[in-house]
Amino acid sequence: MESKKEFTKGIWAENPVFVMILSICPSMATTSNLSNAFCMGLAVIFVLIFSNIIISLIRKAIPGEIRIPCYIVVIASFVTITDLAMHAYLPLKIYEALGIFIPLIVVNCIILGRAEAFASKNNVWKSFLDGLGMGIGFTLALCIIGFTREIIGNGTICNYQIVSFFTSKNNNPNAWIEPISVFSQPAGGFLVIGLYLGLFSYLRRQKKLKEVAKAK
Amino acid sequence: MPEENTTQVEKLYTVTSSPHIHKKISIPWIMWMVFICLLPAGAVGVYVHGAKALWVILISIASAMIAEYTCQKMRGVKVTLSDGSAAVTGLLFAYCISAENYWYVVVAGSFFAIAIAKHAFGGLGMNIWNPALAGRAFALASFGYIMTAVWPISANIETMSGNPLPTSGATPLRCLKSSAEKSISLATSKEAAKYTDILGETGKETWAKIKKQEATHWMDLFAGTISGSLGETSAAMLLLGGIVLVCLGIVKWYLPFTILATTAFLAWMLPVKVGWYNPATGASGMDVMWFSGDPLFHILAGGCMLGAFFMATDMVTSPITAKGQVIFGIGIGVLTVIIRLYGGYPEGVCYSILLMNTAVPLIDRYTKPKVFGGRS
Repeated sequence: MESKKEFTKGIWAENPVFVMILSICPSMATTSNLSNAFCMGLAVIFVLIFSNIIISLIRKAIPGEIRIPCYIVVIASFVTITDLAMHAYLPLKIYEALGIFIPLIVVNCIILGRAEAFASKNNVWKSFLDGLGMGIGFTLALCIIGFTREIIGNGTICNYQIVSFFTSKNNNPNAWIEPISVFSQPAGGFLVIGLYLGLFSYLRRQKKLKEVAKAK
Repeated sequence: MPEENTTQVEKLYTVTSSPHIHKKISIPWIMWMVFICLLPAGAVGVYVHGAKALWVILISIASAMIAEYTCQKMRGVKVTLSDGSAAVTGLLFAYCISAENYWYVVVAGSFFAIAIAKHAFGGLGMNIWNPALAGRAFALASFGYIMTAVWPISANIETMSGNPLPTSGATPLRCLKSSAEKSISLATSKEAAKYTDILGETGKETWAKIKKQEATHWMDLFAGTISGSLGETSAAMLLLGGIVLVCLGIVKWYLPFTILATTAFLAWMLPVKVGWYNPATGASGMDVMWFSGDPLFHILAGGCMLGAFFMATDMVTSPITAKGQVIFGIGIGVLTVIIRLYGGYPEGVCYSILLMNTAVPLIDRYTKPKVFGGRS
């Protein structure tokens, strides 16, 4: 029961992007379309799970004074693996779109935060579940943002056009309505993240109010 | 009993905080006055651009009203459609875009202006940026082509000065800017000799030629028989509306005045680069012309009048004190001229007002009047 909670908390109650507002930088930069967002999420899930496991395994061996460098070394090894693997097997277009943000996972605040706050204090099984949950929560958040930005900003889902009348006039002069391209630009990333933060904190508040009303 | 006492006191005296002197001016009165003062310029816009301008205005106002209603319902606050603030935002947004626009551009911009720029920040009185201008910046970032390249004008309009109508559809500011840039590239090219109709023997001569050929006559700018954004063309009607607002006390004269004066002065003073070619010697080059701009052209063209009288003076997004408003106005003028002369866009009123809106809390902080009896 308790371990189930370690897994689910990352997805909703402590969602890294929408609740803890961590790692906003990659979630802004890599979400201009859904496939980029999903690949970024996968990379973070992989690094997060393995860094959590390793750090949890060696947590008693790490001296407290230099724990952050130790975490960085562990995380950086997995990021290097991810980077090379993605370069080898992903379509080059997606790899290039993610660009600097794959190496930057090394200093991603979710991964460092989970290492510091969770993996260094808990056993391997719990750390694994925590990493998986947090990673999936992050990926879901990125996919929601990426989906919204791509469909409003570009009229596509994973680069596939959905309907012929919803595209820019350059592609189809008879287009009935054009996508709002600001949403696929960085400014739109701020807008979409801001609106989702508002929506989710509203939903959480409603839930809390209901619980309070029930308790009474 | 104490409770009884309180009610007794409340019955006898109305206990409120300052200010205690009231004037019978309400938000609806101000908003509808601004709306009425804006109408003449819109009428000229509809006359010059044709019926499609009217459609743009109506769509914009309607979508602003719908956005206001939806947002206020969603936020669970009182619906205040009748106070006219949404109508004014919609009208202002329609005025600062081109009349030849797709309906969804108008709807998206107007909706953004109300829903994001106003209600996401807490509704009327809480917004940081002027909603209409934020909507314009949003539309410009999203629909770049239709917002910057298509400037229609009705074919059956005669210009006031008798000059032929611009056929390219470019706005006067864009014409001036691009021809100054063109003269440099022509003068440095190998075929400079072919273009003696544009290039003069000195920079001064070229600049005079450009101003004569490209700068629209001030009478056209004043009357509004030019291409440009829907409601920005007629400086005369905007000036009329603005002066009425100043007389009604809704707008303080010094804010529009500082904006226009700063723009005029800097547009005259700041240097412009032009190319020249001397057919006798075959020499060519580039001159930097100081103190040679046309101040009247710069305050009549583009959105300067609309911005100075109706957008910068928005009570929510401008500084409170007179000193603050003067600083604010000078800032807008400086940024406008810098963007117009050296920036990527031909017109800079929209962005300069938005940028100075951002600085308003800072300006207010440093121009706060001293409390009576307080030390400096």
